[in-house]
Amino acid sequence: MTYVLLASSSGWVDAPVVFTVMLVCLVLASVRAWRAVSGAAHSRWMTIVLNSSLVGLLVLYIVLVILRFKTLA
Amino acid sequence: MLELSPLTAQPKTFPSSRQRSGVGLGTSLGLAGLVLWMVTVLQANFLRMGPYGLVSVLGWTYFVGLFLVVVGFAAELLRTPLKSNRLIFLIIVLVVFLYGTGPAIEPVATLSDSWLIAGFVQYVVQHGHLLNSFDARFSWPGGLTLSAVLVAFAGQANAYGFLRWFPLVIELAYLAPLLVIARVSGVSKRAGWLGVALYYATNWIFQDYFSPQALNFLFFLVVIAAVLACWQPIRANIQPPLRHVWRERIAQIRSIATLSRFEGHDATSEWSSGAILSVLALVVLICLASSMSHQLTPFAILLALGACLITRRLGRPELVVAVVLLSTGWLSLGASNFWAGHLNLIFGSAGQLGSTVASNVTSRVTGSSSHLIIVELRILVTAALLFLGGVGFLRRFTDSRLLEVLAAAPFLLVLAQTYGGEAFLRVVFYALPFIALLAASAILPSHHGSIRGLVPRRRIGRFGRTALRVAVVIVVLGFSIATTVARGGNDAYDSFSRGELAAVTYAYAHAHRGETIGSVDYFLPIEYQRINTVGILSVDDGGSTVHHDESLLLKARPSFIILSTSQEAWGELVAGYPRGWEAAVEQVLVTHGYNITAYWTTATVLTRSALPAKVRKTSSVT
Repeated sequence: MTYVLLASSSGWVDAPVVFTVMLVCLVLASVRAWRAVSGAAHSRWMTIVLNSSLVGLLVLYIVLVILRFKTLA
Repeated sequence: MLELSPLTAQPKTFPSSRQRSGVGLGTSLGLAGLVLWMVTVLQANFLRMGPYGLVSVLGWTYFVGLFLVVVGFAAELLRTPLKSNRLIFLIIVLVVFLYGTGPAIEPVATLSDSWLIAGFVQYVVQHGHLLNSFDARFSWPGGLTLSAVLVAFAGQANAYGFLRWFPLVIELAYLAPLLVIARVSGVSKRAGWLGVALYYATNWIFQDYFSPQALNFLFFLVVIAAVLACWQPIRANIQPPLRHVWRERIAQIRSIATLSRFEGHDATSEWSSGAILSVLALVVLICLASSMSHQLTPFAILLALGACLITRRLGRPELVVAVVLLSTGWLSLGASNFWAGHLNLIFGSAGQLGSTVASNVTSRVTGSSSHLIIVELRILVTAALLFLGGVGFLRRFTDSRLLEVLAAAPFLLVLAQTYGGEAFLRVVFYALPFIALLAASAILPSHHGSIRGLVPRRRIGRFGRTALRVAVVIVVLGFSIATTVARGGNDAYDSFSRGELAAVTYAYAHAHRGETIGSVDYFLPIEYQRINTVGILSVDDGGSTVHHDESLLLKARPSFIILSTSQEAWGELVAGYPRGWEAAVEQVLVTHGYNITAYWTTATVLTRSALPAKVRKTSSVT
């Protein structure tokens, strides 16, 4: 309940924030797919950064969506 | 000029007598069947529809024509070489039989829900915006707004012209992605054609009426077809001795939960990078459209893509991520005006399998003996198809268990919610193409693949080809007849006459803003206009009696009440009301201040307003 109230008051579950996180995840997933399909050699560190960012933002997105459901329900 | 002597000239090759007699046979039978279908439609009398629905007005010409089409299909299916054009023609004729007969015989579009969707589209056309908070479907408006654009593009004022033949048109639209899925799913060529025919022969579900659901099923099929056409499984090179078969099966199952599998490394594609990226982009666009136009289909697509990933038929897991983002994104953002304040409507029944089964299956097995036969026939068709699918699973060789997982995946949706008591219907609908292909594999199994069948392979023998033809005819014809009966089984109350439409139109024409049109139940072509200015009241709350409905109507006192033959049929067949109950209701309403202001053979309008008593409007329209 405390997390819900905090999320609600901080604005983190507002539509623009959730939409932005979703959009960034989509862009990262698209870049990842393009790099894999294009078949060219890619930097290992870039791959690690990309994968970590995507996973981290996906987790953040899922948390925000759940909190949004709890806030507005 | 060099001339070849007769002795050195290459002899011409003529088709054998057996091939010559088979040439054109299937097509000829299909054309004969089509002619008999036209005779059926011309001779059918909609007003004579009985408790068994559409089949009660079909003459012998329908069944003979269907028999000819199915025999022609079986002949073409087992000829060598296969002639794709003839098979497509015969499947189209089969579709016309199964999905075109109802629209051809019934004078107006069936199903109240299709008229309701037309009303939503009418509102968008008229006002240029959505009517938020009126109905859940306005929170997934993609299909509605697309329909409104098409209506305007066609120069129409409303969507009524699209309603009647929409089921036939959309089922024909499903044919292309179904053929692609059949070709690339790993079944044999002939099993693929048979699977497509079985899909059409067993689709009694009637989710193809004018609705976002029907459009989204097309999206679903196109996405799956594109993914399966693009990627193929990397074939395992292991050929163990027989005694290690079960160890190998266990190893195959364990290989599902590996990082390599989830990364898509176990799938390969022969397409160029540009083609793959284009397909991915287009599929994401389609999923975006689906997420904004239907509640359930994006999650069905998500489950299907997950099934493709774990069965080595999807090489890019990012596609699954994108669908998760789009479907949950629209649900949490765009549709929030629907669920805000009552989230239990979406997630309230999650995990409650018992109540889901009760609301989806058990509660539907009620009503008169004729209605029970229809309901039980539907269950029987589905069970028989599932049984055949199980046999196909056992018999076929394959490189991946894609079809089995695709057939099972939609059933996870049932755990999420009851979907208004229709979750099972939708689940079977999403699984049907894949179960049909498995069922086809029961008769024509593939004998190539790294995963061997679980039953010994049998040689077909001297008369094997004839036996296969007979088996195809029996299975396809049996399912087709059962689907004709099951799909049209509710038409006694789901289909409407011109008189009923005229009655509803009359009520709308005379209703003022804020007034209400009442009925006993919802089986009317209603809510297709003025959805925000004229209320609709349907009093039946399930499990009640005629007196209870009467008292509810009198208590609510709507401005207009419409009684109709569709409602009367529903009352007798489903609710268990006595024969002729509507006449008694009419009498009660008349003695309590209602006047009959208009009537047709199949409908009556009673009004509470200040119109002169007993003004009768007769019409040749029934």
